[in-house]
Amino acid sequence: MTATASVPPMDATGARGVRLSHLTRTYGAVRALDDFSLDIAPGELVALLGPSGCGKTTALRALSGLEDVTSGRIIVDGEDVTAKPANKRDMAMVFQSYSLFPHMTVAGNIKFALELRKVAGDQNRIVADNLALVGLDTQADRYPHQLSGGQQQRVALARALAVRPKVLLLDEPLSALDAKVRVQLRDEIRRIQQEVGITTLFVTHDQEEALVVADRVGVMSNGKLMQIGAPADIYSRPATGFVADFIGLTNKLPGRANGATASTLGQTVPLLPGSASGDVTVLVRPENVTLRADAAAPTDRRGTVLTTGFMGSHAKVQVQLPSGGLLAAQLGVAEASALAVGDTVEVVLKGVPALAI
Amino acid sequence: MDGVNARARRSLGVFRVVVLTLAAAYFLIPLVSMFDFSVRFPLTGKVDANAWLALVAPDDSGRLDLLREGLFNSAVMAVMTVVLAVGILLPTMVLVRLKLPRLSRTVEFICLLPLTIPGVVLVVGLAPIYAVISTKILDANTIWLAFAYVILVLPYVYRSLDAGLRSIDLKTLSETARSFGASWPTVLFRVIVPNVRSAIVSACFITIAVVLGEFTFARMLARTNLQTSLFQINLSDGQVAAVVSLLCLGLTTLLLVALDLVVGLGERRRARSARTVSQEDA
Repeated sequence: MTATASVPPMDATGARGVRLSHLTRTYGAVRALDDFSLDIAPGELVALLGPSGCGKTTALRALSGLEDVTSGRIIVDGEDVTAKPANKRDMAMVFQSYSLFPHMTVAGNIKFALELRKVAGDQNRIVADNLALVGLDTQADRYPHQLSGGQQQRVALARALAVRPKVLLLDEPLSALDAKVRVQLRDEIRRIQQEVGITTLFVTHDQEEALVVADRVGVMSNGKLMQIGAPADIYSRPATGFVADFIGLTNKLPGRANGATASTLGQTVPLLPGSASGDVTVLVRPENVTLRADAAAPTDRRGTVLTTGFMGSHAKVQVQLPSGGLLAAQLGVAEASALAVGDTVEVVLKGVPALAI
Repeated sequence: MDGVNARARRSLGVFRVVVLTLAAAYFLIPLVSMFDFSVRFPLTGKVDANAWLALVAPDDSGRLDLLREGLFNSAVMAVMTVVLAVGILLPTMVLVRLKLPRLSRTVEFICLLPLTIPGVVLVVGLAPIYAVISTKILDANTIWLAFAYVILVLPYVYRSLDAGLRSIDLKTLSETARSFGASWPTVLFRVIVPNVRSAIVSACFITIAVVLGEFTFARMLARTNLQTSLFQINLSDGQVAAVVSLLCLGLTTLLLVALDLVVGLGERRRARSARTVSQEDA
């Protein structure tokens, strides 16, 4: 998780990716970045995820040069760019708010970026190719105010890709869009990023977005990188209670840990490495819980159905425990439809390793 | 219900007509009176165009030279004031908004300050400065009054530019341009200026109007501008002064209308293209 100070090794194409090494950024007493380190391999898409104010945007802006760092080093493609101004770094950014230049057409926006970057070649061809990449090749002559929000962000993406930057920076590019367009564009970003093979840093507060789009997800809190790993690892093997809590829904069950297992709700569950021992809180995902309608269930694993909610492909059931606590379970639609509010159920924890804190 | 609405609409219509008539009377009666004064000899009541013809007739009194000098000085000062005021204030306001937002209140206060200080008081403060400028730095040429006029127009230019800059996402646009490699001058001239063009033009309008109508500074600092020359002519021939005032007013109005048309042309073209596209979509 923590980077070393050396330059990342060169890959087969000669690119070295990005290294953010021990970055600190303070605003008075506030540490927006606190000894933050991150390596991004060439062609990799890393998503930084975290709650508002965790420092994810500051990290991205530090990499872009729009924000100075108090200490630390930023190395891009083997070159230390820490002291370089934003306009001298070979990067391109897509912002959360619509960032097309309003007085220029779609084609004009892309050509302006090409001109600034002094990109050689047939500019009309580059514009057409990149607009085709985002499916807007018929919109070249329109002005930004004639496009929808989703189209504007697509053009912003095409503009960023057109200059073939060393690093593509995406600062919550989907936040301003409605849900359907967001999902559509999210998938497009992933497709295009893989097609073009560009090194990308994607900042978001939407966990689903991060998990779907990224090769690796970094979870941040208070200016620190709490954990970074493949989306599946982050989800199924959270390193800390914060990560487990932030990524997906988690049931917090009181229990007692003893070595590699913990007992909770009268059952034993295997524990993930790094779990605490003694009196603990066991973090169990809703999909690792099953419910059986059983009025005669043992008291310590008994619960009462409080609510059921249809979610399309699955259902969410909320259960009241005898201790007064609440437990969420994710069930198949058929399973859930067999349960009614007020039913007494037996809570069964699947044997999936959980984290104890 | 419909009857009530119709009555309300009628009352509103009458109210509009009354307000427009009063406003038109307020503006037009002095102009018509000035015109009447310029063609009617005050003592005999005889109507002729002598005062108007005097502007093109050979003149030995030197009053046309004085007028030309005043007009030329005012025109030069209007251009200088526009360039200086917008040239100084726009980059300053952009810088403050992007890098020093905590200073925005201070800058606003400084820019609005001239509104609260009477012109006569400002001149009292500026007189010793102009004594130095005239004798030690530059010379006594009237056009250097443009520096003082920059102070005079600061509040109006600030308000116009402020409205323009508020209407765009300055931070995102400039950061986008920077991230693509734009230098700060490129950001200013190719990204910000085109998007606040209307605000800049309205700042120019008001600056030109203020400079062409300025009298106190020039009179008290003994300089010749359009208004002081009109005043001088008025002392010897009130009718010619009225003619020149009317012509200046007309020319200024024409200039502002022309500027407005030039600016509006681009916007209308853009709006038309937007309408065409929507029709194609439909």
